[in-house]
Amino acid sequence: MSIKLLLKSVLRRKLVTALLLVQLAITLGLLVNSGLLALQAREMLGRPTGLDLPNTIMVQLRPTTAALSSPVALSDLQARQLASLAAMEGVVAAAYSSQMPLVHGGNNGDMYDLDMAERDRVSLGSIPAYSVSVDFFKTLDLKVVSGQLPALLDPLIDFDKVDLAQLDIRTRSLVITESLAKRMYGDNPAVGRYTNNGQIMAVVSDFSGQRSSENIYFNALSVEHTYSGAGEYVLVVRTAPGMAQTVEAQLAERVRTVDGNVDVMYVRSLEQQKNILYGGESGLATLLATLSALMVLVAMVSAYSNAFFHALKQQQEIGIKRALGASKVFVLRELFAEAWLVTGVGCVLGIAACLILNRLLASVLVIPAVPIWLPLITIGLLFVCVTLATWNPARIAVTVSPVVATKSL
Amino acid sequence: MEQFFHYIKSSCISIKRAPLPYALTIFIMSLGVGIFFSNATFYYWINHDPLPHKSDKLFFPRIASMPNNCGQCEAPDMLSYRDVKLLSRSDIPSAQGAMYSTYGFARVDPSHLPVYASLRFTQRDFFRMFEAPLLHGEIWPDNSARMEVILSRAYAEKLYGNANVVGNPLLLDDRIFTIVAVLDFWEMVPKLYDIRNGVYLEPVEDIYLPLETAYDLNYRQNTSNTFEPVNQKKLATEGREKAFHRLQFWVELGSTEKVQAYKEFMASVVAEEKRVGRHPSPEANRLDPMSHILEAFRVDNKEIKAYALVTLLFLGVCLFNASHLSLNRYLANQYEFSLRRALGASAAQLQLQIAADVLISSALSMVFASFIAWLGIALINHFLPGNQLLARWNGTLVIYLACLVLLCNYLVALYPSLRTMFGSLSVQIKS
Repeated sequence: MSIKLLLKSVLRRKLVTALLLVQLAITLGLLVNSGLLALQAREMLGRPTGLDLPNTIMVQLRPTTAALSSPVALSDLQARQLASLAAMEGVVAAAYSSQMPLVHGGNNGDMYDLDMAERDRVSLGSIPAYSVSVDFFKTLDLKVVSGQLPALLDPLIDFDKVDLAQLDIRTRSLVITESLAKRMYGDNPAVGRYTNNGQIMAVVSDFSGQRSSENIYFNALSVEHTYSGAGEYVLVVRTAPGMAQTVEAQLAERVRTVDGNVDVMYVRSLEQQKNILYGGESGLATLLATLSALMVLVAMVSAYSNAFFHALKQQQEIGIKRALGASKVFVLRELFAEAWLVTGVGCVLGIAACLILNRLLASVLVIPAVPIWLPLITIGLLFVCVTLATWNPARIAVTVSPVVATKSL
Repeated sequence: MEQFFHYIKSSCISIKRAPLPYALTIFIMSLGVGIFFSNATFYYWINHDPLPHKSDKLFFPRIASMPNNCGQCEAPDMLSYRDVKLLSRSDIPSAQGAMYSTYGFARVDPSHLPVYASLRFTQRDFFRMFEAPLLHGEIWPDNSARMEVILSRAYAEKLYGNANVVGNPLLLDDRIFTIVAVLDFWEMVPKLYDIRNGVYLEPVEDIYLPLETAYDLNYRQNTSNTFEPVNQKKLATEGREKAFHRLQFWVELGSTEKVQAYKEFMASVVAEEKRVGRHPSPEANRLDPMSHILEAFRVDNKEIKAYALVTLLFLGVCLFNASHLSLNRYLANQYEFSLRRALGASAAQLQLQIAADVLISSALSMVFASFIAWLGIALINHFLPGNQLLARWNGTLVIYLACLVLLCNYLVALYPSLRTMFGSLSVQIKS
């Protein structure tokens, strides 16, 4: 089989071949970049969170009456809610928090060490700040790395009387995550240091907080009453293994039974919350994967029709070849070789399309560079698809008898 | 007309002769257009101008009034109460209004269960600036604090069962308000007067209250920037005095002279503040029109944008494929055109025949593309939730779709038709 003859045959249909090449190139570019985004989403979803995702459930709540905007009334309500949840079968621990983990952004604030000279301070712009109950660490199954967790809530502050500017922040306790401690103090001990948010009492294992932070594992937690007024708060429960679904199904009703003046915004496991957090990336990856599948289908239709019409046009030529002694396998190989040649050239162009599209997408969103193995696998996939699509028209072409094919000569 | 029907009949016969290639062409074309159009729907709405006749006259002014010198940083996205008071001193704008949003729970009386309500605290010019239509009652006569609310029609009907509820009391977060007006149905897509954190993709609010009342009642907000410690329980005082930024502020400036004058006014405000030692940062005034507010605030729906790029390329792939299929189909039918040419048919008559082909293909593609676009929208809504408000078609979009289908079909048929018409007749007849 001569490459020259193959090229000649392909070039006989210049426009059709050109259309096919452009199409194959774009297809390869899209397939590779879709694959990249899908891998990126998978990598994000696979990152450790430091949390027991399937067995931890949270309920997002907001009081519906102004009476519950007083911290005393809210604390009393939360205590009753937690007691009720803790008594549920299958619940290991329950706690409240002013905000949930695994979110894009939320309440956060500046954080720095009060005793460091201003020039030595590491000032961290937006650290997620939580007001949590004592059992929050047990509920999230966080390990104490150093220090001791506060055994009691910090005293309730009546902000109607206390001036914020006069409050001695050193009297307040604070728990921070390991990554944050390392960022602020390096290898020096963090426990006992005074920050603008309170004295560090303990350092706990990392858990995923807010994506918008410098580091998703940076978290600062105050063991105190929630001062959210009539705002939202979260109840978190950890269940025994295998009990999550049963508990989840009862949670909303249980909370409403304690006090009806509360709107249950949603109940969801941390697993679901994580999927929501990375929903944009995984959603886009799924959409692109669907589009990729369609694109493979389009490429197959294209390869099929190309082979079909080409074989139809070449029927006489094939007939002559067969009459002159060419075997069916030889003719079949020739038809496949033509399809593979076009696919090969299309894939070479496709690599350039991959890189261009990668650049274009990088101007809109975060996407990694194209690794060498991904286009290679995708090229392999395209070859398989083209071969499958060419199979039937090629088979039909060689089964036509030489007598029939050359009848009109 | 008879001739036209003849062309249509000829096209149908041609389709019946080779149904598979034709069906594939229509399928591929519909797939490309449908997928492209499903995403284009979202893209259209994101970039839609809800007030095209005045979006270049509504401006969002900002000054970098933070208490600390932050170097070359930009003015904050939200304004403090002090900022608004300073900027409201100007009589250059024909209308101006500050606002923020939160939520609450309302009921008709204590015997009813509270119902969630999205709230917007604003000033009287808001309704005029953003053309919120009034159904019943009157907007507040001024911007002072008052226990009076304005309801959306949908919320009034939800709560009271009818929209004519002016004068009725409303229990909002356990406080009694009087309903002074009800707005007629209205929407703003996207809701450009508040573009933070995806709020611009949400519907307009249920209840509107005076801004001053919100401060007096210590109503909190969904988002804020605090540049100095603020006691959240004392927003009536500290919220008004300190660098507590949570307000959007819009002014209506009807001419370029007014815009220039307002810029000068802003510069004079900053100079005055600097003189009394209150504006330590360098001047970083911004006056962004509503027509460019998304760019000014760097609000981006990156997934939709990325998907738009990909679907555009997909449409390209489908067009190439359909062209390729179409070319093969026309080449297979070439003898028929050649025969007509040989019998004396003019180029114009052949063009009409091809136009009839395009018309039939377009009609079929339109049906299938609409269906695929509808499926695509459902898919995008499922995988990228948060854009539901944008998943809708209006007359303009349907016209765009029809034009796109027609254009694609014409492009796909263009080269084959030219080749059929202008190729060498002797070669064609021979084949």
